[in-house]
Amino acid sequence: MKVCKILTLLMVMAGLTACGDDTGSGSGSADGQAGSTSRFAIQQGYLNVLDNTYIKNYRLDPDDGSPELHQVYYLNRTVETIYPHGEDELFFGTTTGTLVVTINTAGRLEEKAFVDHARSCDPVVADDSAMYITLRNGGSSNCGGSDYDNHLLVYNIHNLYAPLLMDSIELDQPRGLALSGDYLLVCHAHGLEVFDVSTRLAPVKLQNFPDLICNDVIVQGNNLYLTSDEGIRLLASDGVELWLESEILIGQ
Amino acid sequence: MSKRMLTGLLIGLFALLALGFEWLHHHVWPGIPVPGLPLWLAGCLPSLFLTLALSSAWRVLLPQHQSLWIPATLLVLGEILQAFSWPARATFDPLDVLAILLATLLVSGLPLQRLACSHQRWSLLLLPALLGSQLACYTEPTPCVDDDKNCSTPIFLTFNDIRAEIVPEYGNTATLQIPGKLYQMDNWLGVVDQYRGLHIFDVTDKQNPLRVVYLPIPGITDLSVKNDYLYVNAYVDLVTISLADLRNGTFDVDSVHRLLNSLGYTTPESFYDNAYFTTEDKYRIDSTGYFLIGYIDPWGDTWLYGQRHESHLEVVETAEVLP
Repeated sequence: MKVCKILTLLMVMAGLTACGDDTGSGSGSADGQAGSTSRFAIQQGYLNVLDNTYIKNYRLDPDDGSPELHQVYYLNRTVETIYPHGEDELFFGTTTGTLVVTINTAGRLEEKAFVDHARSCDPVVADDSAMYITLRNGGSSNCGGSDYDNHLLVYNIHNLYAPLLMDSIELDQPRGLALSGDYLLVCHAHGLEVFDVSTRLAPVKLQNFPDLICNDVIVQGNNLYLTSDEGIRLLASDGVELWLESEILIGQ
Repeated sequence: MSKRMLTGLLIGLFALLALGFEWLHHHVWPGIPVPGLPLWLAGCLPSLFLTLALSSAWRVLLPQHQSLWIPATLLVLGEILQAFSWPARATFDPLDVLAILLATLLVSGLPLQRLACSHQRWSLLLLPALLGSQLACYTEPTPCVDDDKNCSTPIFLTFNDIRAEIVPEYGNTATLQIPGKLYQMDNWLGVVDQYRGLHIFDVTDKQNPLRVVYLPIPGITDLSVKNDYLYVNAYVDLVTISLADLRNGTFDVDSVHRLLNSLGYTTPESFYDNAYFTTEDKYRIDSTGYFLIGYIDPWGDTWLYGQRHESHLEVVETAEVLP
């Protein structure tokens, strides 16, 4: 398949190479990585499934892998996305805010904080110090809409009990996002926006890639995987440039 | 009042009547356009009045072309094109053609040439406007009442369909239909084909991702992997799939574990956005055991998972970019 070096990324990609499951762009203790818009997350041998206003927590049998319903959490709001943070924290993107939950010693989910925001769709990614949320008002029927939508929100989460809003950056219909080292990648209506987040709480726009319109993005090592309405794109980076390796389009 | 003015008023009245019947047909009494009139008659009244208006206007405004074959042909052609959903989505009714021919005969028998305007060629502009007015209503979605031709036919999956044995299709046979979420693990990439199945690609060579296997899993939107087990949702079921069996080629019914009715499921609105169903069908959509995946619209086109399929696809896509 063709290698087209379509893009130049103005960054030293130390970040991309340094990233792994531990930088928070992944799925915690699952074997592998889901995107930020996932509704499944495995942590500590439990599978958490988002089911409208419920979070269903299944214990996975270590022998035959079969799930057994362990707990059901009812939230008074629709849960859209789940993001495993470290080994014992989960961030839930709901239509009205982001819920920070820890798994306590008894294996139960415990609400730590709820970050209210405009009614919208909102995947979330985070590391130890910062949490990034995208708000989007259109598309899926579950998204609401208000003036404050269509932003990337940046929170200081040094204190998980009290996330602090640090910055808000306007983006058109932002969707999935991924954090990779010092870079934050955000899918939006006009492409893939790359932010420099070496200063965690003050992202700086580096470059937008208009050809890379996507719904969600996964970063793994030097590789990027994008999903969009047109198909799947595989990209790679050598530390200086970002290029398209191959595409799997509709009908292929 | 001069005869010419009377003729103008009459033409305008016919045009208004045509639009009025179309409007009633689409907005007020869906399926029963005019109370007291049978459906077949009421359905072709707009064509009748439109042809009366257009043909009269033609003869008055274009005295040198008293023959009505041009407007009649245009109108009939317009009706026939509707059979191909062009330029707007509409129903072809042979009775409309009869109505056009009848109205043309009526108008050609009237002594309109005596009222002809001699210096008003600009009035020709009226003709495309009148022709266009016929199409004005067609882009509106058509509500339906029970058993009426405007109702869409829902396409359901039942429990038997969604729980059919999962038979992996090894090799590069399946194609991606509706790209969904991704899952990356080691050198494979899971690609959800929304509500249809899961493609697994070997991405060792990034430039040549190889489709290893496709798993048809009705209702899938999400997945995760742990200890060589794949977890996916399948409408209301939570499904566990052994990846080892999939790799070893020993996949059979025992490789799949299904936790029945463990998840909630709501049909996405996009699956029936432009469809109108009978009361009975609407009831079924909300009942257990019926999973709506699409519908066949009144024009015979199939919509699956919110996307249009097969017939007339190219034609309509062309039509949609027209101004």
